Amino acid sequence: MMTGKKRLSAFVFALIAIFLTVGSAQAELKIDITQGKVEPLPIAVTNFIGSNAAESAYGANIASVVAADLERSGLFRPIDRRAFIQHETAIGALPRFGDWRVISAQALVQGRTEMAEDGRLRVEFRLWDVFAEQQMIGLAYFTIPDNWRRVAHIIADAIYKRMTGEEGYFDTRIVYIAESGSAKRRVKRLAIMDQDGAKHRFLTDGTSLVLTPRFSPTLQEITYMSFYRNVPRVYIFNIDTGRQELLGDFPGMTFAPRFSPDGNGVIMSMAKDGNSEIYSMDLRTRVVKRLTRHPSIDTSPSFAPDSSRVTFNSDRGGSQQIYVMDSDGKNVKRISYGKGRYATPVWSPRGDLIAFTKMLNGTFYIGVMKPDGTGERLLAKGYLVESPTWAPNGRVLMFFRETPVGNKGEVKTRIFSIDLTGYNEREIKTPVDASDPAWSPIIP
Amino acid sequence: MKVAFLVSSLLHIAIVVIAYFGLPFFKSDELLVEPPIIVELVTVDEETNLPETPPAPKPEEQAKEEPKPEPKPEPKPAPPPPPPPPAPEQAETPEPAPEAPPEPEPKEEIAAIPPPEPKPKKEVKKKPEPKPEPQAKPKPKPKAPDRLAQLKPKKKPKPPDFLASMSSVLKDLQKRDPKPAPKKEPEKKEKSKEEAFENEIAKALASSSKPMDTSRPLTLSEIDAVRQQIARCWNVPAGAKDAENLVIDIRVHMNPDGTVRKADHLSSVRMLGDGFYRTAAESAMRAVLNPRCQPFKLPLDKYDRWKTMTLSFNPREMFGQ
Repeated sequence: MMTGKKRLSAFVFALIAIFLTVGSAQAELKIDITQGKVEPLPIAVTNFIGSNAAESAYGANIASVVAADLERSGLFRPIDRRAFIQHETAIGALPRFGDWRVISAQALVQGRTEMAEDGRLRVEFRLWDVFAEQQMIGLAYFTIPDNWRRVAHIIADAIYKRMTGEEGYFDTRIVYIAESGSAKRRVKRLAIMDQDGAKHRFLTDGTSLVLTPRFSPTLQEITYMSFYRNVPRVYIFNIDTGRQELLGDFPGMTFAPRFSPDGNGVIMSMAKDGNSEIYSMDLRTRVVKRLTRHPSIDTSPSFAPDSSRVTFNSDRGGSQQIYVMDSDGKNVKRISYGKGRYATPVWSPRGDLIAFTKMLNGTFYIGVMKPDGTGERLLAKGYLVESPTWAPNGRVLMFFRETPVGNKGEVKTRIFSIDLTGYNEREIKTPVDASDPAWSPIIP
Repeated sequence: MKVAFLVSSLLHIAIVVIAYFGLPFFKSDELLVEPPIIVELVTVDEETNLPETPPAPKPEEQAKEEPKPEPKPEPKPAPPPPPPPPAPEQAETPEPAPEAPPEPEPKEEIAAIPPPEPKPKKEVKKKPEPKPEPQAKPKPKPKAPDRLAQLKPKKKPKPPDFLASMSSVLKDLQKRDPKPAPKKEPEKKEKSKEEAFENEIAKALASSSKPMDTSRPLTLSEIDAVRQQIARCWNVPAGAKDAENLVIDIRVHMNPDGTVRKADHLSSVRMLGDGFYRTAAESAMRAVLNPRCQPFKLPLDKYDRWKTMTLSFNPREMFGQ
């Protein structure tokens, strides 16, 4: 019995001891880090290695496009190659991480280009976490050599996605209105270019006025308004085929056409008898449906990414404000209650925000707010800033800014991109004045 | 009877009135005058120190100092410097408080105690020479009994028992000061009392820390230093959807030199499914592993406390609107 009791007590003691140690372990030091910094991540992009001069040339070009894409996003800071300690990075071997840490690189991109026997170009890359000394992603692509620029954008997208958790937007295009000529005889043409300004070309010849180009969210198609023979109509333009199609011959004026998220419909405003209302149209059946019935002006509709709701612009409350309604036209609700007037609402592809143009005291602003009207933030301002358009990942906005030049009423218009955080505003270089940009979805 | 009754009732009424209203009238003014107490949120642990080397040298100094008390004239200067020295003494002898009470002149002695400590170093050089007698005494000092003997003659009758129990060093100090103080000026004594009181408190506080309690928590300032170090290297994933809700916990195992030996995500399962979360977790991990922000400035003596710790990265403050 005695031994039994002793054992029992010993067991109890052991239990208590265990609990005590567990308790002390749980009470280990915990430090909350609540402040950080928001600055570009230093990344080293090495030249992609080739086994001959041609391959190396492609490799160098691809690496520089990748680095430029990442740099333009504002989230990365490519390190000057002259600072590299380890230059030749054979893709098969583990990088010397110490050499990269010394130059503060936190991520490392290395790659290889190779011409296959069938004439295709094979591009392989790896992304390394320098501190953790682990590969984060490694992919290889086959393409025709002329397509090297797209491959570079695709690689940049892969890196962007792996590092930020968000879809990239580098393999995209911008369509915009290219403006030239004097203020009185302004020529407006439809133009398209890669998101980095490369591969620029004009889509229309400028004989008729074009306005409000909008990309289809699923296809490489654009809707826009053209005053062909001075009759404003909505057209659809297929970029790949170059085919232009009249969407419909509507009575009165049609404005601001925009695709539905599935690409099968269009939503727009149409003016009849001096009053504009919002209509939707199924592109397959060409059935038109009226969504608003109000004696005031309703315009600039934009679908939510799930198609369940529509945001639009109306002055039914006495001044131009932003409203949200169900996609069948019910439950109309005003969401903008700040000072000034609000216009051109555009629902983010991510669904969490609505971008808008705001006018207050003679100044224009580009801003975002949540779909319930809260969290309004202004990102950019100017003499005239307008026409926000979202990158397909809902992370970056593009808009155009008009600034007066001289005293004769001349203006210059340029396209700018800005990060959702309000940082990293950049001008997109265009050969002529540019307005009304529209961002394409990721190229399929 | 009537008079007695009257007096009695008046007194009762007075008591009732006082009981009801209290005696606030006089006090109210004082309360108003009292300045607000400013509380600084400084952690008490600031004092923690390693076992000092000073203790050894002190006994010698004290021995030399003893002669000084006898001269009496020089005790005054001592009081000003007291603050710094207390710490070392405390480490040596935690029992100073008890000693004071038993003696008949406790207050004076106590007051005297603080000043001697600071001065010893400075005074030692100058004072020892003047009187030959004190010098003789210091030699015997190494032994507790000798000191007691010396003390007794100087001050009068005092219990040797206390002295014996206490550390010899402290006793010596106390004895010298007490004698001079009473004779010279009472005001100084008062000041010294205050100092002594502060010193005693400091000693009491320090006494607990003497053993170098490695299990003590880090102080706020120490944690803050590390927090700021890491914050400099933390590149917050801004713009991500619901970025403000991505809280990342990382457990780090530290080397004694303040560098990170190993770091693990505490919720690695979530990393697999949630791209945004993985991004946030990786950005936090980069902050922890970035050699530019290491080693963390943490006190080596508390290594047991930060050998492993959890760093919680919470960007909410940064997105506060």
